Parts: sequence; structure tokens; C-alpha cells
Amino acid sequence: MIRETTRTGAAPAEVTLGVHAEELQIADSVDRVLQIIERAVTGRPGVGQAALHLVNSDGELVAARPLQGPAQNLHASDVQLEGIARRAFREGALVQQAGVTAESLWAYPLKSPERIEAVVVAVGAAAGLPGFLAQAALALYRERQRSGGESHTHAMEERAADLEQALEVLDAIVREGGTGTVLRRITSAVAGLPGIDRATLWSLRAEDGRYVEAVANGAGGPTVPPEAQRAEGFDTWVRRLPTWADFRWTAGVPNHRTSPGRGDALVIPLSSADKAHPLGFFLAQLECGLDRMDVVEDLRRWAALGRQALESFDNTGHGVRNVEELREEKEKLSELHRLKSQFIAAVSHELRTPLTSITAYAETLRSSPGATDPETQDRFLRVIYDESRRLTRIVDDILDLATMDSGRVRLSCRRVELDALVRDVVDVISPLAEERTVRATLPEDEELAVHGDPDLLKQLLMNLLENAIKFTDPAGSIEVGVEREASAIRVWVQDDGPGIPADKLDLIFERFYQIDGSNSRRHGGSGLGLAIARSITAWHDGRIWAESKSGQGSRFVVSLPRLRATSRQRASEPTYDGAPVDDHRVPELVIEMIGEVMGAESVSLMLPEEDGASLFIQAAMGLPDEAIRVARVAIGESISGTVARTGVPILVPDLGRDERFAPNPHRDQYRTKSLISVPVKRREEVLGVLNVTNKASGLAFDENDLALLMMLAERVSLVICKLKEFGDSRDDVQRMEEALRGVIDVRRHYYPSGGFSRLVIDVCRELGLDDQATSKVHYASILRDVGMTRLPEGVYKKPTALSAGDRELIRRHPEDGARMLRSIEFQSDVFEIILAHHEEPDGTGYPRGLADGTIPVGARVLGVLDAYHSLRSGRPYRSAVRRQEAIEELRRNAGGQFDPEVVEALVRVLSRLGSSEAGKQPEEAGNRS
Amino acid sequence: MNKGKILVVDDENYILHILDFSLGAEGYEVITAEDGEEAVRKAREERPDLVVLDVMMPKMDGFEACRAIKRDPEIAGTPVILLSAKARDVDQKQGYEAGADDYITKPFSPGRLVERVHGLLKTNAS
Repeated sequence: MIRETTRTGAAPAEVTLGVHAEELQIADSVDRVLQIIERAVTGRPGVGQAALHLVNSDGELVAARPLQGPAQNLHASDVQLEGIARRAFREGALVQQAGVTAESLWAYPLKSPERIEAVVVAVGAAAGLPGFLAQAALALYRERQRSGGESHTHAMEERAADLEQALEVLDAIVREGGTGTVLRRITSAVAGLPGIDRATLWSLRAEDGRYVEAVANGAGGPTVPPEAQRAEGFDTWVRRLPTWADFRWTAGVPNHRTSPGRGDALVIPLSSADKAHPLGFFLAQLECGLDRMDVVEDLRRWAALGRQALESFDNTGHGVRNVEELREEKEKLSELHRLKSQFIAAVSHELRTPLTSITAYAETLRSSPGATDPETQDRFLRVIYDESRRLTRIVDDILDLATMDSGRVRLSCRRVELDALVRDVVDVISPLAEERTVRATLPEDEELAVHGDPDLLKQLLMNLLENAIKFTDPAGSIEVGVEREASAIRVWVQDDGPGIPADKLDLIFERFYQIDGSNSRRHGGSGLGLAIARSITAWHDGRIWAESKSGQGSRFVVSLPRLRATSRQRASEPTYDGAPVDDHRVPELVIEMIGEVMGAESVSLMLPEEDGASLFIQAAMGLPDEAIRVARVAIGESISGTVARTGVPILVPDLGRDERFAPNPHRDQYRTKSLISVPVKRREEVLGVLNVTNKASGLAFDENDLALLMMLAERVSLVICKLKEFGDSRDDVQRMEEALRGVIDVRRHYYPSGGFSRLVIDVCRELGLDDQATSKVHYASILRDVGMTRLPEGVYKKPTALSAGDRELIRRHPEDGARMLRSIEFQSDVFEIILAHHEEPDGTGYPRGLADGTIPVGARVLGVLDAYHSLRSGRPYRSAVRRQEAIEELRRNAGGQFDPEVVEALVRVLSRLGSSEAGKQPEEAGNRS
Repeated sequence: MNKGKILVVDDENYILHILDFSLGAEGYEVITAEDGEEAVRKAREERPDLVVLDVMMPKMDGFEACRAIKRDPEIAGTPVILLSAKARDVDQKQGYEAGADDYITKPFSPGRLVERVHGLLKTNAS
């Protein structure tokens, strides 16, 4: 009987949701879908106060549309609603929380294949809704895609306009020598927005942490009474999304309201670019009730300007840096825009060319009396057929490229043996090469596998070979090879064609670019082959470049990372594989970065389960997906569990001989020989455990490795905390990604690790630096050239001496590097070493021209060691010298270019290394900086 | 029945072939060039009665070649038809400004092109 009642009670609601679900199928715009969601949520019995949070084109959660369900008695505060919505957005899953009343508060993220489209938050019953909302997410995605191309361009233009304005503001600050005027101007601009009556700007005063009016306002604009500032939670409150408050500040506490009206004030928080600290806020008093979405968007732009102005307020140097950054970004955007128009023009030309032949031959065939003999007809038909195929190829290639650019590629990655792949492709291509010989050079008995999409990698190789065939004489030869490096695998294709001029080496990867200015038809192919090759490489986090010496043909090189990290989410959701910006990427990049820096075969980051009893793997590399999905370690047990409990790191140089650990029957299976396990801590709290096993070089981990991993663990802690705090701000996430990718890149593609680190440590010790200082120099030595990863590929690999322009570019790398690392580095002495590693004692170095005592000792050490390695390993345009010659060269320049004390410390260290190594290869492949 | 000599310029072999075929069938003598520089040289050496000129070509583009022909007093009177994949109004305007006598956009009809050639040669002769 009871069961009956329940069933009848639930039935009408199910029907309603079903109707809404049908409506979703035929909804034809984003707005329409949103309306359906609103109606579905507000029509559910048992739902009280609710809200629909939207995600803007930058992937940020923006202000909510307030909703009210039938259960009038169920309330929660705006802060509560927003808090839980943000959590659901961050975690990407349904979040439920028992409310103050018995009713629960829940938030559900509407996830599409690409991102979270919106978040619905409500007080009351969730039953039945998640299923409907999941469908709504897909409908939103569908409609957004449909209007997609347009809105993307729109967002780009909008961003460019924002930057334009921001630049104007900063220029004005620089010009007028102060921010006062500018702030006044911005404030009055905000006050001038439609629907806004008066506005005031408040900035945080460093001395007492109080907010004060940044611009004196005689007109009696909205104000914040001091008692309100003392109220608990005020600080966090002003850092939230733009929010409404009753500007009368009832009882000293801002009064949150769902729908604003005349006299209410809008609070627009201003925080620093990295969102780490608040700068101030705008208070804008409303003339009337407004549709909140519109105003918020408008105000966001002014808030960005206010932030720029306030930031340069207390730190001019910082402000100037921002000008540069903004200018760079703006230039990048206008460049993108220009490229896009250029691309459309080029596509239209490339499509017209075969179409022209097809129509001309078809028409002649049909109407010309001269075209009646079978031989002519056959010839004409063949042209039509060839050109049709060419047209198809161009269209296919354009689509491929568009898919890859839009970031919607689903890579189906697995282990790919590159030698086998090369053999396959050579078999396929040989018939097409006609008389030309195509030869594969493959090392034997080497593991040449990468983690990647086999179809795409095959296409990449095909494109490179087709390109080589096009530019090789019919009697020429083409060679393709695979080589293994420390952490990357290189595939190269060498032809003996005419070669590529040095200034065109980068341009040839642009779409439709042809060196001789002809259209691509002349050489066959679509003109997109190399552009596609570049995209595929980028999707695999690899690098591609061309090398060429005149008269010696060209060599195309692709360098692909050997191992990739996988997060637990990815290991369990293969369909999300390869999404460019998603929340698994940062943990994965952290793992890859550690793998590269430590030179480890496997790395894992373990975090405690919610129950606090065991650890799970958040992300790892070098482990099977299955292990990542299911592995659990009880806290307190085994190595990582012990580290999690005690917070004390464990170094095991040789597991087989270590008496601390009982023999493990599975040990052989995993072939773990050497490992380090360190805690990731925030102050004294253990957030997780970081494990590295087996050095790729086969050596055992030692105390130096432990010290380095401890330094890395501190950075990991910073990243974890940042992700927790602003995981939903794409800017921050992107900055972290950029920094991590930079470190990975510099290790993977620029400097194979080797004896350099060893020398850095030994020289530091020789100079009497303590362990901590030595670790910092060691760590900085690894990161020092991160800025180089921003150079165009050609500059770094150039076989000739550098031009003045190239040198100018290279001179920027210390600053670029320090800037890139800002989001993952917190120790100023590390920054200082990176920034100063090209300063010279006589003041002739760069970027600041520091002299003698003002250059940090770590930077002086790196200056000498960089020079030593450059001498020992040679340059593309200069050969290597022997150890003794290198030492003499350093001594000759001691006091000028080099610190004499460091030079002598190096000499002592080298002499201890013994003469046995004197004639051997340099300690490490050098770099060019 | 030689009706006149036509210089056809295009970097696409297929286009050269079909123009050679269509104009040849109408009794014209056809000579060809594959880029702008060659076009100007042949216009001077061979003195064609008319030039059909593609626009986007390596070395020297059609606009420039057209200007070079029209600037040279010896051959300035030779009619030039520009044949181009650039179909916008501004492109056409640029073509006429370069001195072209006609502007045909690709894809084109060989039959119509032959008619224009007839027409221009007739006006020129009268």
C-alpha cells in the first residue's frame, strides 16, 4: 500500500521531466535550453531556493541566475549556494551537503564532452534531476557548438578589445606618472554605465589591511563603514564573484539579496592577476533593478582595468612588466586574427584552383567540337578525376586541421612502437616514390615506443615522407630513422632535395606556405601536410622542426616524449583522452615535470582518500592504467603509507639490499631497484606523497636526488593548494600549465641530463655553501633556461653563428624564464639565480648588467659552468675543446666574464674527478645560452 | 587560318593545356609562360596579339606583369585579359587599375574566354 502511494506520488514529476527532456531535443538555441532547465528545476516539488550558474567563454564560472522552486520554505544564503556551486564546478561531480535544516543542499555540474557547461545548485530534493541535467548539458553543448565558430571569434575580439583598453590605461599611467588620474577616469566610467548611479573605488591599504577610497569622492557615492570591514568574513566576501549587497549595510554586515533593486550596490572585487591577493573593489550604486548578467559582464571589463591600475599603484616595476605581457598577448591575438583571415583567403584560392580545372575541362568536353576523339576525351576525364581527388584531399586536410585546432580531437592513445610504424609507412609509400629510394635506418634491440595515437602518428610520418618525395629528384633518395634519447624518441626524415633557406625553416610549417611563392598545386599535395604534421606533434606534446644546409637536402625531425603521465580520472575515462584544457592536465604535467627533472622511470603522486585511511594515485607515469585506477595503500603501511603517516621522507638506494623492508614477493615483478618517497606538505599537514622509482640512467638515487625531490615536493604542494583555491580560474591553470610545460620542455628537448648537475653540486660544496643553498642552486640550474623554450625553434637549432637579432631574442630568456615560473615558484632566491645567470662580474652581462657582489653566488656558479660546458661540448658552428683548454679559457676571462673564485673551485673539483675522464666526452651536452 | 598569336600565362599546367586546346581549336596560335617574368619577356620577344594572364604566380604576379606590359611603349597596346581566382570587387578594381582590358574570375568557362578574346581582338583591329 505504501509502495503504491510512493509510485503515484512520483509519477507526475517523472512525466514532467520527460516532457522537458523532449523539449531539449528540439531546443534551437543556448537561451532556449537555459529556459527549459530553469522551468524543469523550478517545477520540481521539493526544490526550494536554487540557482543556475553559467560558465563564460573563458571557462570561468560567472554569476548565477536565481531560481525559486515550489518549496518556498527552503532557503540558503547566497554565499552557501555559491560555495557549493564552485565546489561542484571544481570537482566536476554532484556535491551534496547536509544543510542547517534537514534538507540537503546540492550542486550538479552539467558536463559535456568538452567542459562543464553550467552548474545547477538548489536546496531540497535532487531526485530525478541529475539524469535530466545530464541531457541538458549535452543540449547546451550542442547549441553552443552550433553557434560555436562565431562566438569563438567574438570572444577573441572581445579579449583583444579588453587588452587594448588595459594597454591604454597602463600607457596613461606611464605617461602621467601616476595612477590617480587613471583611477578617477575608470571610476567615473563605471559610474557612467547605464543603470549605475554613482560608483566608488576602494583599495586595500597595506599597512592595516583596511580598504580605503582610492579616489576621493565628493559626490557622496556608496561607502563601506569601518564596522562593516571589521565584520567576520568581510575579507573573503569582497574576494568573491561580483555580488550584490544592500548598500545600507544593515547591522554592519553586507546584506545579500537575490534580486537587486534601486539603491543597492554592486561589489566588483579586484584581485591581483594571479588572484593570490585582493587589491580592492568597486562599489557601484544602482539606479534601478537590472538584469544582473548583463551588468556583471560589462563591469568585469572595467574591473580588469581597475586591477591593472591598482596593481601598478604599489609596484611600478610590476606594472611595467604587465604592459609588456599585455602587449605580447594583444599582438598574439591580432596575429591570430590576421592568420585566420589569411587562411580563409588561402583556402578559397586553393579550392578554386582544382575547381577551375574541373569546370574548364568538363565544359570543353561537353561543348567543344574539337574534343570528340576518344583520346582527347580520355585525357580530359583523367584531369577531371585527378583534380577532383585533389579537391577531396584539400577538404579532408582542412577538416583534419580544423578539428585539431578546435581542440576536439579524441586521441586514442596506446603504446606505439615507432620502428614498426616506420617500417609500415615505408612499405606503403615506396610505390608512390617511383624511382626514388626510401630507406629506413632503425637501431636494433632498442625500445622505441611512445604513448600516442597510432593513426595520427602514421599520418604524421606519411606527411613528412610525401613532402620529402615532392622535393626530391626522381633519382634522389630519402632516408627515415628513429633514435632514442634520454626521455624522447626522435623520428627524422632526410631528403637530398634542394634544401630550405635558413629564414624559411619555420615558415614551411604554415598552412599553404610554399618557398617559391607558387601555389601548392605545383608540387602536388594540399599545401597542408606540414601544418598537419605540426598539429599532430603538438597533440603529442612533442616538437617538430626542419634542419637544412644548402645543397645537402633537408631533414625534418620530430621529437616525441617517451613516457606520458596519466591521471586517475583519465585512466578511468578514456573518452576524455587528449582534451587540451581539462582538470587532469595539471597533475599530469606535475608528474611529467618530476619525471624529467629526476630522470626517473616512474613517478606517482598519491593523495589520501576522504576517509583518511588510505592513499590513492592521483596521477602517475610509468605505471599501467590498471594500477593507477585500483592501487590503494593503507596509511601507515608500506613505504608511501609510512611517509604519509610520519611526514618523513624515505630514500632507498637499493631495495634489494635494504634491510628496513621485508622481502616482497612482487618486487621482482615491478623491477623496482631504487626509490624515493617524500611527503608533500603544507606547513605540517601531509597533503600527499610523491614517489619516484629507478633512475633511467640505471644509477641509484642518492642524497642529492632526495634534496631535489624535497624541493620539488614543495612546488607540488603549492600547485595542489592553488588548484584547490582557484581551480576554476582558467588563467591560473593555464599559467601553471605553461610553467610546467616549460620545465618539461627544457629537460626533454634542450638538455639531456647528465653530469652537469653533479658539477653544480660539487662546485657549490667546494665554495662552502650549505645543503639548503646547494639544493637551491641545483634546482635553479635545472630551470635556468626555461625561457629558452619560448624561442622560435630555428634560433636554437641554427647551424650557423647567431645573428644580432637572434642574440637579442636569446638575451630575453632569463626574464622570460623568471616570468614563466611565477605561478609555480615561491622562493625569491631561486628567481634571482635564474634571472642573473647571465650576469658577469664586470657588469657586462644581461639582463640587468649587475656587477660583482650583487650577483647571487648561485648565478655566478651557473655562469662559469655554462661556459665550461659550452667550451667542452662545442656548438653547431664551433668544435669542442679539451678540458685543459677550457680551463685556460675560463682563467683568461676570470674577473671579467667569470668569478675567479668559482673558476678555481671548478678547477679543484675537476682535478679530483681524475685524469681518467679528461679525454672523455664532455660531462653533458651543452646548451647555447 | 591563323587568327592571331595569344600568350597564355599560368603556373598551372592543366590551365595552360585547356587554354591551348580551346584557343587552338579556334585557329589561334598559342604560346605559353609559367610566371610573370617570363610573361613580360615573351610579350616583348614574341609580340603576341593578346595576353591571357593569371594573377597569383611565383616570381612576379599578374598585376605586376600587366603593369610592366602596359608601361612598355613598344607593347603597351597589347590587350591583356586577367584570369584570376581572386574574385572580390577590390581585386577586379586592382586589375583594371593595373591596365587590364578585361578581368575574368576562376573558375571560368573556356568558351566564354574565347568569345572575349574574339571581341577584344576585333575592337583592337578596328
